Amino acid sequence: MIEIAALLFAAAVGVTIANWLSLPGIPLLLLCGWGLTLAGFTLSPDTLSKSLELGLAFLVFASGAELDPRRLHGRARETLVATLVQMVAIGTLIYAGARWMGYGNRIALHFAVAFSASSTLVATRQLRRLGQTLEPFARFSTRVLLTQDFFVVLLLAALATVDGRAGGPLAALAKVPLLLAPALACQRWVLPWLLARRHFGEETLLLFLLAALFLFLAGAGALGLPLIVGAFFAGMVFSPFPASSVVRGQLASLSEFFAALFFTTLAQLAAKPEPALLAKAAVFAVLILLVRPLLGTLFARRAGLESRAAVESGLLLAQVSEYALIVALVGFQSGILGREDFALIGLVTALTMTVTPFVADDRMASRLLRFWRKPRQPETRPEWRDHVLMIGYGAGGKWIMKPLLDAGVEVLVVDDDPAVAAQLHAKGIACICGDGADPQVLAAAGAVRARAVLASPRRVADALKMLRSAAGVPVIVRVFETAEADEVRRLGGIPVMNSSAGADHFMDWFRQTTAASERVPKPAG
Amino acid sequence: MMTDATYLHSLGLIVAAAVVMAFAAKLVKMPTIVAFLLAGLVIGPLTGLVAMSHALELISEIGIALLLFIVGLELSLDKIREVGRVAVVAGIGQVVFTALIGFGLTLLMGFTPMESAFLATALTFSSTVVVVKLLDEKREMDSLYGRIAVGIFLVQDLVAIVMLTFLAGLGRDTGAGPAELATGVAKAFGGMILLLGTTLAAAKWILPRPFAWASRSPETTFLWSLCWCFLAVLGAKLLGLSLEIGAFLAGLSLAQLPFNQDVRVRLHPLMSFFIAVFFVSLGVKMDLGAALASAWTVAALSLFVLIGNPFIFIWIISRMGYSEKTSFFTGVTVAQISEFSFILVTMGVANGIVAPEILSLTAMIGLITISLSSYFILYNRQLYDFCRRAGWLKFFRARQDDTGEAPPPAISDHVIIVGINSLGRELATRLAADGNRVLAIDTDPAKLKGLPCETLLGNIQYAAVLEEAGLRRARLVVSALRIEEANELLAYHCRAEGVSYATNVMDLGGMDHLLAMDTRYMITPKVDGMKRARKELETLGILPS
Repeated sequence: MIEIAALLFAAAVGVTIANWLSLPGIPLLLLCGWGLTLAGFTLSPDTLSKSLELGLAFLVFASGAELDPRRLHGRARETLVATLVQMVAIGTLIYAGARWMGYGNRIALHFAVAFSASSTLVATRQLRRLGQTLEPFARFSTRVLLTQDFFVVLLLAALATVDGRAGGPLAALAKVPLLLAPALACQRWVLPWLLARRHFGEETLLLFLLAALFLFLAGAGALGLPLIVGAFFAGMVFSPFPASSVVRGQLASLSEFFAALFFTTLAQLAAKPEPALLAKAAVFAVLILLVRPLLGTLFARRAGLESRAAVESGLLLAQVSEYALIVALVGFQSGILGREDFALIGLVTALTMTVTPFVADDRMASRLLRFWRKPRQPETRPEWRDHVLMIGYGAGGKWIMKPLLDAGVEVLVVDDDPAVAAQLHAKGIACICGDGADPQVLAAAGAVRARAVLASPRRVADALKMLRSAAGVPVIVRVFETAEADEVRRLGGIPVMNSSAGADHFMDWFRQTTAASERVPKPAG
Repeated sequence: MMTDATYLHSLGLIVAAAVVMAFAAKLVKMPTIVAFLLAGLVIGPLTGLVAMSHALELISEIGIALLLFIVGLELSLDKIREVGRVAVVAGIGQVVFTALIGFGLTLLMGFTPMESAFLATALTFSSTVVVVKLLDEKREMDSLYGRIAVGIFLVQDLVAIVMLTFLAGLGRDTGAGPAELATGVAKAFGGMILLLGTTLAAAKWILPRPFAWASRSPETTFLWSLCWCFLAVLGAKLLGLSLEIGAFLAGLSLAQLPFNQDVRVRLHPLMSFFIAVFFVSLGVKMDLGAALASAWTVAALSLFVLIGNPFIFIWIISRMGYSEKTSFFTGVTVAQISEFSFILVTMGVANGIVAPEILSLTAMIGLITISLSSYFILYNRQLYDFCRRAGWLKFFRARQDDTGEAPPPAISDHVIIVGINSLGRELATRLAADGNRVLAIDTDPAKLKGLPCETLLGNIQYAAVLEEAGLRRARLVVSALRIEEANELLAYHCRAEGVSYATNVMDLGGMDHLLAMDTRYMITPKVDGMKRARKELETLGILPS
């Protein structure tokens, strides 16, 4: 009990610091777990192994439960290509780098697999933090991340037998379908049957979930596969909607608890990092931070994302997955990796994860977009006058452009996305590729001589710059919060708050339906 | 790669057996606790598939701690104070009566005085874990009878600690003298007061600020709450108290803080897992061999617990002015023996004071009384109606009118707003201004502040939150969330309950799916914002009206 309490305490401290600094939790959990070791707190081998076992099982199970087939619907090929090519490219690079540093073949292979995927947990957290989960780049990145998780699990199955045990990697991979098939069968037939019986209640559903986990763990054990393969496939059973959503809450409690124990416990296995080890970790981390965003951007662009979205997607994937730690654990427990190798993987994972919030944001994307090859600027008139200046051309811009053109209004767009600018040029619509908050760009766009400015800024601070640069011109600004609307109004702008507009329409509907029948009629069935 | 396959194997078997029995139990409306105990019997004494280990004991202990922590979280100090007097009087009164009558009964059955003392004491204690689990299942923890029962069990726990101290001394050569007994009693009460004082002082002066900061992140609150629970449990152990008392006081101290409900809901799945292992393990540990040979003794003593204990309770509680119904409902909660009973008798066997057969006997009585009393508690309303119609309750001459004891009516015909972002806030404010009863739900307490309506802190991913919000009685559910999965989950639950649903739609591509789930209205702030921008251009004369 004391050991569990100490681990939980370390985890709580780690998560608190992570929240305070707006950093991902995993590096801080590792750090606090390691802090426990430094403080002389050593877990008994029994607690160590059991914390790792259960933590690993629940962590991977939760990861499998995220693999909703709907997410890949219609995009499977593009996602597969993006995932596999990136994983192979990064893996090869890491393998070559490790060999060059003098690591043996098997250790280099472990490094290659460990560093080949990006972190679903960290990326999802970052997207939620920035409110970007519904952006097209977020959907693309999430698809890639989930597919990466699946392939890492397969690679782990192969890796666990790389020393020739149980017939070698190919034999291990050949056994995978024997576990995948029942998982898919349960997903298709057993789960709908279970969900149809709502009277079973939450507790029974939770027990069923746990039983599936242990059953698949047993199945993996019987087939000689690593248990995490069983845990992942058990999670996949619950991945389709509505099961994924129904069990998410239950699973979240379990996985949060066990993951906290897992990551803090894991640090107990690592050696104290010496300067040479730190240097090696830094080399790997820099390599990953440089190459992965490039590859990610390239494939996102190939998948049809616009330039900014592609860059944001690339940046979002610029870290190593939590699966790296699992690969490290597999390697350590099979005796291939030593404590130093284990520490190296932990360090690279922690470093790249920690950097993510600083690189995966729209400021960094804006900076990088400056290096993007800009489309040839069209011949614009030396002095724009009596036009409508549209700053930012998103979905809203598209919707409003047509009536403006139909009404014979001259429209000039300012957008920092080269792909958007190129598309507009192709359609014969004037566009300046640049930052809409830059006074020089606004001056070139004739903001002070426009009939009106329509602004959809990412940050309200940008809107305020626009208002100052277009003094005397009606500026319609999209805002998200009441305080922002008040500020825009105070500076003479016309705020348009989407939520307020949405609420107006909703209230109209609600009052009508309420008036029609005192109670809102219930849907049939 | 795993190092201890036996442990995972045992845990897997326990869970699998629990699931199979729980499914079967649902079919015959058997309480899950009984199903878990039977599952334990099957994989333990009957087949020998699973043996207890230190890890399983630890999981069981964590389960008990979490269960009592959740109970504490649910009950505020005021609610406990309200039932304090009746809990102390009934708790001690019942212990005295049951122990005396039980002692006489067992002596008559031919047991030695020492065996009779152990058996009578074992029959005295009721199982906090069993009753709390059942009350939680029935969602009646907060009812008056639930609170009285919890109060009584805590008093019993204290008495049990004193009794354990006393009976443990019986095995020693010196015996437990009056001085030793007095020290034991003083230590138990002193420890209780110290722990209670520390936890409540911390709750009042230390915890509110850091927890208020942490509550912006549910995961952080969750982990710190668990830490607090384990800290109190360790403190209780240090002071010689039971882990139940430590966990309960930890929960009680956090119950005063505004996020208690959210923590409780988040802890629930974790507790369900651990507590299922506890109950199955309880079955695994039961050695019924010798008990089968003395069926009549088992039957007589079980009947005494099943009927005698409730009888004593109903009599005491009704004498204290509570209605017949509340007295009856409270009374039936004590119709079983406790895990303390097993510990007590095990101690007696280990000290060589009582024969091993007494342990088997206690286990059998435990199995029977826990199983049957689970039915009593789950179907207490039907049982009450039956006993009343049969005229068996007239003897108690209890007050018939239960006005003031019934729980307040549940919220109904309301509009639930999920997600208090700018849209949710607009909707809640406008709907409330129109005179609708509105309940706003969010995971961030800061967002719920200052709303002109009722609020609930929680995550709708947990069915318990929807239950608490009265989803099935709602007039309309509106999701302002920008999280697709959550919006779809709400659509799913609303369709299943036949409640109208409106949702925020950020991606128009997802509309078909929501429509297929009977969503009544789609709020499209982006589109509506564009329409408004267009309107502004019309007002400026740039676009024709």
